[in-house]
Amino acid sequence: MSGVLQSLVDGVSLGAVYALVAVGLALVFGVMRLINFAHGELITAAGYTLALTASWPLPAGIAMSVLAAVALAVVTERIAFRPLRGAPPATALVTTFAVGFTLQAVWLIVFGPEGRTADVLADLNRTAIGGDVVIRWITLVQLAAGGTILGGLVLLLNRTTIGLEMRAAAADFRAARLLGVRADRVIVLAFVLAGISAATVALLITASRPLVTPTFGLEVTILALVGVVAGGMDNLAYATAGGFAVGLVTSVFGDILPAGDRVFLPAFVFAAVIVVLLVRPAGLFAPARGATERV
Amino acid sequence: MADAVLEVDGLEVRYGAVPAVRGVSLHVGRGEVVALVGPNGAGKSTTLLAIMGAVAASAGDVRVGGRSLRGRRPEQIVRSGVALVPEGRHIFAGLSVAENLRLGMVGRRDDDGLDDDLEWIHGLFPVVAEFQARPAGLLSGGQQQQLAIARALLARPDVLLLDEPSLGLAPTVVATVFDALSRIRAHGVTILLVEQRAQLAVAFADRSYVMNGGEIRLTMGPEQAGDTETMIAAYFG
Repeated sequence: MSGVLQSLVDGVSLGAVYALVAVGLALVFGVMRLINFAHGELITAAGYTLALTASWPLPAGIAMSVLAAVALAVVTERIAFRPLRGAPPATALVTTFAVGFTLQAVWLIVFGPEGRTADVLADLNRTAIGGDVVIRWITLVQLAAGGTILGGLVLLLNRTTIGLEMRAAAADFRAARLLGVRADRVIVLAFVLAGISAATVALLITASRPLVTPTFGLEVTILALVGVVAGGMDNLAYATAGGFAVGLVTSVFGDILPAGDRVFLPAFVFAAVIVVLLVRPAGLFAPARGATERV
Repeated sequence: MADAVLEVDGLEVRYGAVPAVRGVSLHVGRGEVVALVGPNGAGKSTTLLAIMGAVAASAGDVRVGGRSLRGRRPEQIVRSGVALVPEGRHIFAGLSVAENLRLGMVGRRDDDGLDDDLEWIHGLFPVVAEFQARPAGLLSGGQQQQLAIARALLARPDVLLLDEPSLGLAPTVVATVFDALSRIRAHGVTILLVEQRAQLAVAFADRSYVMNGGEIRLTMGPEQAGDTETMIAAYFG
C-alpha cells in the first residue's frame, strides 16, 4: 500500500512539472494555432543558464535563467514565427521544427555533447517527511511552483484585461482583432508566459536530473505535448490537465514496470494515449462530441 | 462631402485571381445611415472587411475623418474610429455577456463618457444589462445580435459598420433590432449597413448603394424602397 502511495506522490510531483510544460505549449497554441516544437529549447536554454550561473547566488541564477528563456521565446517569435503569421499552418509547423533543430545544433556546438551540470537545487533531494511514504523537499517545491504559476495564470487570464484579450484571441483570433485586441501584444505575452513556465520547468528538472544536454528540454516537451493532445489542446485547462496526467502516468508506470523493461516506458505511455484518442478524439477532458468526418 | 466621416475611393479586393470588389467608391456623412444591398457574392461583406483591414485591398483607399486607413491593421482601424458588427455576430460564446462587453471597450480611444455610454447601451438593450453574468453562448440569436451591436458601440466609433444584422433572425426579432438601430441613429451614430433584406434597408437608410459583381450598380434613396423593378434590374443586370 505504501508503495502505491509513494508512486502516487512521485507521480503528482512529476505531473506538476509536465503541467507547466503543457501550459507553455497550450498558451502559444491558443493564440497562434501553432504547436511550437521549439518550446523544449526554451527549457534547454534555461537549463544551460542555470549551469553557467551555478556559482552565483541562487536567486540571481534563477533570474538569469528566466531572462534567457523569455528572451529566446520573444526572439524566436519575432524572427521566425511573426513573419509567417498568415502562412499555411504546415509552413509554421515546419518552421518550429527548424527553429528547434537549429537551436539543438547551437547547444551542441557551444556546449558539446557531454552536457553541463546544473545542480543548483541538489539539496532539495533531502527527505522532508519520512516514514513509509517519503516526501522530498523537491516534491513540495514542484507542487508549490506548479500551483503558484498555474494559479497566477488563472488570475491573469480571469482578472485582467490582457487576460480577457488572450482568452478572446484564443477563442476567435480574427473576431478579437476586429474588436481592437492587439495581435502582437497577446502573442508576445503568450510567448513570455511560455518562457517563464519553461524556465521553471528547467529549474525543477535539474533538481533530479542535473545534467543539461542538447536534448534536455526536447524529451520532456515531446511527452508533455502528447499530454496536451490527449487532454484536449483547444482548451488551456484540458491541455494542462493532460500534461499533468502524462506526468502522473509516466511516473506510476515507471514504478510498476520491472527495471529491465523501463526502456519501454514511453511506448506504454504513447499506447495509452492512442487508446485515449480512439475513445475520445477531442481529448480526455474535453466534452464528448459526435463523430465528424475529417476527410 | 466636406463632413464625410467615411470615404471609400476606388476600392479593389481580389481573392487570388478572382476580383471580389471592383472600384467601389462611396461616402458616409456624419450622422448618416448608408446601406449596401445586393445579392449573395456581390462584394458587400468584403467591402466592410476591407474597410476594417481584415482583407487586403489591392487598390484604392479608405479614409476616416480624412485620414487614410491604408496599410493599417484591424486593431489600429478600430482605434481610428471604425467598429464592425460582423456577419454571424462572432460573440465569444464561452465568455460572459459582461466580458463580451468589456472586449468592446478594448478598442476605445479613451474612457471619457464611458459610464454614460454604458447607461445608454443598457437602456438600448435591456437584455444585455439583465444577463451580465450569463455565458454569451446561452443567449438566443436575437439577444446575441443585440450584444454584438452593444459591444461595437462601446468602442464609441465615428462610424459603425453592420454586416447582415438581420441574418437568421425571426421577423419579430428583426423588428426589434431595427428599432434599436433607429435609436442608435437618433443618437447621432454614423452607420454603414450591409443587409440582404433590400427593401427594409433601402427604406431605413438615407442612401443605399446596390452592389452586384463587386461593383456599385445603382444609388437609391429611401423614397425608392418600393421600386422593386429598378432594384431587381440592378440585382440581375
